[in-house]
Amino acid sequence: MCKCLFVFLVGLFLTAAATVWAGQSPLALARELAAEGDWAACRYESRRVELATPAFATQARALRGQAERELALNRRQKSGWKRIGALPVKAMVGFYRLAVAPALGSRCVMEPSCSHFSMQAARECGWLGLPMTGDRLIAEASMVVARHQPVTNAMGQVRFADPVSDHIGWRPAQRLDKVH
Amino acid sequence: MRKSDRLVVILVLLTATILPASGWDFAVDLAKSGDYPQAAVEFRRLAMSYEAADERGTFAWLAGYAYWQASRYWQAERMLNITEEAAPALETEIYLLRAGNNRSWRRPDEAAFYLESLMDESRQEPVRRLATLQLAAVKVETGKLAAARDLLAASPFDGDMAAVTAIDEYSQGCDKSVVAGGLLGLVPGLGYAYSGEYANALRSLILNALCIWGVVDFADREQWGGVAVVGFAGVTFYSGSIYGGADAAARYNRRRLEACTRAIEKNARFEPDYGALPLLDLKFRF
Repeated sequence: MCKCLFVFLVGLFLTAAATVWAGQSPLALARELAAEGDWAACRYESRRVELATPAFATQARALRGQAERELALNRRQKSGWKRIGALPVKAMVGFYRLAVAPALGSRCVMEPSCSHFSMQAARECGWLGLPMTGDRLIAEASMVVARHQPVTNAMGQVRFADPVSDHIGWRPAQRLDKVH
Repeated sequence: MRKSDRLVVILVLLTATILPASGWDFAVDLAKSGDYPQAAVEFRRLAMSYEAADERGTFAWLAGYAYWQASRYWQAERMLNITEEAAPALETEIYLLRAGNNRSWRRPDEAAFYLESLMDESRQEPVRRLATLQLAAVKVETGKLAAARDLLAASPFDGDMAAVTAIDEYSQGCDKSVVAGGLLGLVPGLGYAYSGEYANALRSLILNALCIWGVVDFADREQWGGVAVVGFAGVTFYSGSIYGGADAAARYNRRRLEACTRAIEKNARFEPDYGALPLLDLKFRF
């Protein structure tokens, strides 16, 4: 019994040693993701290593801590003026969700719903979230009639996709070389 | 066989069963369910775990494909660099993905370079056909309509002439100016009307008029709370009218362009055949 355990442990040690020698530390991927600045994936990966490979738990925890700090820093950098500009929209949507939405229920046929769209627009574009909300409320009915981009949500209901990304990053008008 | 030897064999088999448990099924499942960033991380892990260069290249390419679908173009490029180093034989697959990635990244010149490389006679027919269609679409996207038309007219593949008609139709129209749309939006509804969205124009006009009337009426009665609430709604709709004027022009241009590129490409695309893993095999659909 002792002999077979010894063989098993030696095998495991050799495998681990070969892996480390080949430069394939279990944290290699997490470190690569950190170098790329993909901190969300780095946090996930270092957490996985922390749980799956106890020998590397301390290093993985340190890397996860760094990833969490970077993510928090990114959130703070994104805010500032944008966050202040987003306040009116957030207040409006907050009031709607608190006082109006419970009486109406989930009725919006757009994906994301108008209140989610407003919050996303405010988060991504700051004060521009207000005109984007106005535009969405004006144009919503036409989008439903046109049935552009129908999608099925998790509840199996048909909705019409109109993500915030469709309203930002406008492509300028093209100068076309005409076909003769 | 002695009892201890049997135990050794069992433990070795057990280890062998446990170690490859993190195969590609999980990554493929994530990719198929649309969780592309996570699928990319799983494929990267697989790429790092394989010793054989071909398999490392295959999984790095799949990671790049997943990043492309997740709109993480920079990371997709990095994965393709790794693929190129590990498995240069996958040149066609690398070029196809580089072309798609650069096109989505709005780098049409780079995309055109890779697509032109794929139109070489030595490539397989589906690759050349897909490259021809995509290159024509890229040329339309950059406004080079005559070049796109010539490319399709010279194409040896059947059915590409229908795309020539689509380019002719696209050429007859013209794009709307986003700036003009925004400026016209200063008059509620006019910005939408400029891009042909008459229902939105009418709705914008009515909503803005109602808000102005509401603000004036509340102010006459000296009900300042009402002025604040209706005024806020008015500001939302008025600014929405300006933004919407510009957005409607951009929407008009985008839809016009999409209709043309869709007519050219007709849903032509490539995707990896996950059933062939660890070999990289592409499926083409036209």
